[in-house]
Amino acid sequence: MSGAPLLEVEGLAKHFPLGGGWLGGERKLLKAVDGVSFALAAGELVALVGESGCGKSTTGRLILRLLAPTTGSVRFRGEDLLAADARRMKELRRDIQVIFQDPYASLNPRMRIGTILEEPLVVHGIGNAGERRERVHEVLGQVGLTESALGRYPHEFSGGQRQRVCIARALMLGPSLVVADEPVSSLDVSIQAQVINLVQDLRQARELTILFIAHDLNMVRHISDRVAVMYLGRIVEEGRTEAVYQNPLHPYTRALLDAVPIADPTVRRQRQLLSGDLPSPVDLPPGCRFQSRCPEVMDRCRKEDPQLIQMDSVHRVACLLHG
Amino acid sequence: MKPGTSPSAPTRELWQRLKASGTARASLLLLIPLLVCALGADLIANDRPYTMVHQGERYFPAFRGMLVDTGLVHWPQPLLGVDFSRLPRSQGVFAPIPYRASGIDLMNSLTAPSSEHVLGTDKLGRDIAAGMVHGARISLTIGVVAVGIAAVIGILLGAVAGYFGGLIDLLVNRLFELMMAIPTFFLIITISAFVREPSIFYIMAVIGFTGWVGIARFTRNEFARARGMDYVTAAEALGAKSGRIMFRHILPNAMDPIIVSVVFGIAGAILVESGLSFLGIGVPADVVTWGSILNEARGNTFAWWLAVFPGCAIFLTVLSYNLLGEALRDALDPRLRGHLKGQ
Repeated sequence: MSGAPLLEVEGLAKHFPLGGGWLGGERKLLKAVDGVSFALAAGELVALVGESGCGKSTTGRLILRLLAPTTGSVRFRGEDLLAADARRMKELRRDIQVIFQDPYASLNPRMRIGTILEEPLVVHGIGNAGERRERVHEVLGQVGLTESALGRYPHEFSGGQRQRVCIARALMLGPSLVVADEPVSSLDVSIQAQVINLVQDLRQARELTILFIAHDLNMVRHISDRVAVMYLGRIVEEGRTEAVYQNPLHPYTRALLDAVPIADPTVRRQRQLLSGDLPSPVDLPPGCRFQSRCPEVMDRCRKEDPQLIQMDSVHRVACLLHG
Repeated sequence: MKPGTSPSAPTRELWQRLKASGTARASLLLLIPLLVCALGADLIANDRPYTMVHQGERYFPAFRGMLVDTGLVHWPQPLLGVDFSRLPRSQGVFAPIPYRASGIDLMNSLTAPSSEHVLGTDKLGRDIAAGMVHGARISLTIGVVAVGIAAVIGILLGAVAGYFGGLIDLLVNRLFELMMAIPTFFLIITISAFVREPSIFYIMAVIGFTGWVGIARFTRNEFARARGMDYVTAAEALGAKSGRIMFRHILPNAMDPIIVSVVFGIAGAILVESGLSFLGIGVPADVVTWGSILNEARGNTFAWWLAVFPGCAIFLTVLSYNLLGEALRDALDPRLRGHLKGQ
């Protein structure tokens, strides 16, 4: 990593109260995100990977300040996002944009594509009607849609096309950071590659910094510079993509990699598959969060909570097997 | 399809479902004549002739009269002394019902339906047919304006409660419950007791200010549901202000139950107005409405025409709005069938 990071997340946590706590009852907390720290250098694509419910999407929403964190800080170009007032935050939103997972839900069904794409410019009072239209046309071309799309409604498009619209909307304001929250997970496999390639192209053309949230390790291997693996609200392993894929240190990362199918039926390999269920993020056991499913669980794991430690210059892991 | 011309999916589907619905057609069959009556009341029932020749000049008193009533112009000098209602029928071309609603003619008090007065007259000799036609205008105006007021209040309160949630939602919901706990009709009667000079506008306002709870609750629920949708979160991530998100992004998606509720609300408002006029606390005495004609039937039980015609009109109007409401409800969302009713 060179220079000052564009985005720095430190000790970020989000605990959702679950009722209870009324008239002296015990108040339960759902710890969706529980102390997450990482940084993105300008121009980097970092993949945040984990199972459903591990807190990766919540992390994305905390960074976008769509949710207020319980504790922790988010710094963008050194500026504390959480301290920004409403006016400053609106300015910052021009620089930080988001692409959602489900392009069926994230486009307003009663708005034409042209209106949806113009909306960011209108909200921020950019340009006059003619300039805005020009800008919409320009971005529309960049995401591979034609002008005929502008007068239509979202329901007239396929999932892949809709996701292109969502990407175009995110790019309208010319952001430097894009949080892509599982942008291809809800698409057909045949379309996923197209959208991933589009994200890659745009990233290069516009020098975007991207936080790419995904649940599939295989998909992000070829596009990410670094990978962070999340489990139950914590990052358990983080490092340069090649380091993590070639030498996965955390048993959970290994299990995730083993779960990736190989497209060759003759290959037999030693698989380490996970058994057991994800523990509830409400009642976390003491010690390591992964102990109930870890194939290499030790006595220590039931008492000590492992912290992320630096293994070498490009690789960090939170596991008692290491250190 | 040409860009810019395709309707949104919901709108197109709505039209297709409505066209296929017998209920919708039946309601329109009843509502269209009613609307014609309301809009063209002055041309259907008017004691001023469409056209007449007076002292060698041609005049159009029915049309001129509409402008005179607004205060924009005056009668031309030669017509000033003319009493149109006493004009011989042969002197001009008259409307099909050549009477005005409030034209008193004590010589013809309480006449039964005849060729002269097709629906009879009341105690003051006012023509019932003319009263029915002009009453349609008053009924529809009261329905639409009262529910318009109710919709504005209901949508604003419901939107704020549903969108912001939390304490605001809690307080607004308690307000809903408070309003629902008070019987609206008695509240209106109570308010009427304090009003010196009743007018149609006051009736509209009172019905509007007491009838917003149903619309507000539907709006609140729709907004609360939309609050968590990705397209709303996306608008937030763009930096859009709350007002813009509420009324530009969420409201168009929340309109379905609101529209249905408004249509049922119109039927309700018409019924309330008729009820008030029947009790004699609604509109001033010189204004003829369906309810006030019905009121006269109380004291003159032999004059069946005073009860039957306005009674049927109220029944058919309320029926047609309810049918339209049901057709809209089914067309907008078949899953709501049987669940969504007016206030």
